[in-house]
Amino acid sequence: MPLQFTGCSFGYHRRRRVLDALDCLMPKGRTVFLGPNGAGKSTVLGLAASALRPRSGTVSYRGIDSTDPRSLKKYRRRVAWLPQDVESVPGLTARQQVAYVGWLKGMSRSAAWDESLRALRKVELARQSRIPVDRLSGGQRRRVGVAQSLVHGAEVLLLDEPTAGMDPRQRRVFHDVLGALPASVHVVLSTHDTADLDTAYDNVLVLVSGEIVFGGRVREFLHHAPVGTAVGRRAEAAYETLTERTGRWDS
Amino acid sequence: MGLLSVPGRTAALWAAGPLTALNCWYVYVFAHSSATSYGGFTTHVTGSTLFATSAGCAALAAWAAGRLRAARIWSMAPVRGRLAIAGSALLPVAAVAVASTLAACATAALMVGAAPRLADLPTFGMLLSVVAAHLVLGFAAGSVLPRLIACPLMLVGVFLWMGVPATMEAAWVRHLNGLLVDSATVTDDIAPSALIAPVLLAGGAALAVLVVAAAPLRRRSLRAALGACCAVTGAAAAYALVAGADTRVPTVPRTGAAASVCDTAAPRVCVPEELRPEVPRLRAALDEVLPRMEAAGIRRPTSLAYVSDDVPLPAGAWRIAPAERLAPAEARAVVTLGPLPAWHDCPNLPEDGWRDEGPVAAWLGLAAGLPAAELAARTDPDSLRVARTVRGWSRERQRGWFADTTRLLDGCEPDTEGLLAGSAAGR
Repeated sequence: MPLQFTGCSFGYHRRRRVLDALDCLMPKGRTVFLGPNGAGKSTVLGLAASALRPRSGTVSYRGIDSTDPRSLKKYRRRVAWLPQDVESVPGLTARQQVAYVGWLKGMSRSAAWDESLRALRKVELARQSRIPVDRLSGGQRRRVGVAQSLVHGAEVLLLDEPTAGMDPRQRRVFHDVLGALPASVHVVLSTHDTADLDTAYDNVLVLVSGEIVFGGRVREFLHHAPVGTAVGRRAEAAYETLTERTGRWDS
Repeated sequence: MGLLSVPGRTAALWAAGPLTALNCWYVYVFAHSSATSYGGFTTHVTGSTLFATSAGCAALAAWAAGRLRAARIWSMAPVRGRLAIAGSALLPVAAVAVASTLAACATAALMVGAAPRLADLPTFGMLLSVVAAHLVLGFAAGSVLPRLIACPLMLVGVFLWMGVPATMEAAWVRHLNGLLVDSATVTDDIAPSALIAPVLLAGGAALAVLVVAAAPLRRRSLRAALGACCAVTGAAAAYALVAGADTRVPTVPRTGAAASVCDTAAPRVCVPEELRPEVPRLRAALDEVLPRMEAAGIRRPTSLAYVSDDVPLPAGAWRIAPAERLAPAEARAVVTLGPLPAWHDCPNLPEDGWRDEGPVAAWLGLAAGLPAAELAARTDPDSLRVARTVRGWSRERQRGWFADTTRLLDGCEPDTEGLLAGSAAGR
């Protein structure tokens, strides 16, 4: 998948950089994005979504440069983003909210309205489509956010902790939704939940203090677990090994 | 309204009714005792609701922007441009503005008894432009401030901007907010400067906001500088247009065929088209009083015309100012005052030092042979006393007194009353 960071630097304040000349090629397929709190995962996803603008360097997808104003809209049509904190327009129902985001992402009014219900069905919220988002539970709101990222048929989904606040059943539904996506849709998903890592994802990226300390297939990632680690703990152990190696648990 | 305007719809829906009702009620009160059936006045009455429409819709725009801000729409990497997103949110608010203005206009037309004219379209254009600019400013406020601060700030701020300038010493300020304190009349239209100045000021401010928010310039400081230029240019241009204005709205004489229609008898009677029904009444009054006025030494006029005070009349013409639906006594009063010089500004006179036409007006009434009751109804006793004294003089002396008096009035003599009284006493 050629979502590529080239020499990307970014900081929320002038004197403190979160990313420093990051070079990274996000692989095709389903990629899980791991890292300690404050490592910069949300920042990387925000840059990939073009919601943030790098101070230097570029972020491109299939050669479309998100930092070039002339190609920004083209880039954004192809990329969907679910931020960590999803808010909704006060007073809108679930369907209105999803449809509105579809319109924001370039869909026509009628197409956005039609697709909004389909997107809500995928996340099992069709029955709540007429309920104001403000009145839904935290997990349901998160699913509305997932529906927002699905509505306009993007080629790349950037999901920042999509299962936060979801119960186990809702997480399973979410994974089913991901599994049902066409192979042409690439997913980069940040999470603290490493369960099912080896079955649900193709690739792993580990970010620590703004640097990619691992990027590769899941199989290679699991090799970093100490020998003898129980199967169910291998992902966790591999993560601990990589982050211990860099000496940085929490950035 | 559809999906596009969903973010702005809720607030606009519940505010539409109260705002429209407020506008209609205000028009009803404002125009309740209107004696003028003229489209220009209908437009003026409609425009008087600008304070409510601008303030209310600016607050609604701030609310709509606040909802988008709460949803962090601007940081969601939208494909739609900022202007498209803002426009979709403001569409229902704009609809409320238009609807409440149209409702006010319809109410005004019913109360005044006349629909707005085509010539009033520029005034409506100004009103809607000013409202549109306030929508932009309200949206900007709601985008940067919390809703609970932005909305009351816009509501109160715009209301004060509409109301306070009329109380200020600097008269030119009151011509900048779009709230016209005077209306177009059958003889005068609102001057273009009075319509353009508010558009320049409000438009410049709105353009500044748009430039800062959406100009395709990367550096924020550059956008801010460009925006400031827009605002300052608009303000400077607006000031230049109204700097010399006094407390009245600048006007220009009405032009076109409808400005003056005349009958064919001599002397001709010319009035604006809207007062055409008054011509027979004026003609009857003229036929009645003119012979007596000529006998008193007043020269027969070439014509009687109701035109703008700024339009010079040909030599020998009388300037009249009839109202609608003239009673015979009113028609006679209009005609007998014809020989008086046109009203014009007397900068040397204080505001309460109005030039006193009382004695000469009373003399004209006596010369015209008006019934005593009519004279008593429109003249004060002192003026009547002076006039009766003058009427006892010779015809030549009366003519000389009349000529001197009108000359003094036209020349803005500050003590006209004293001179008249002294002259009448033979001093």
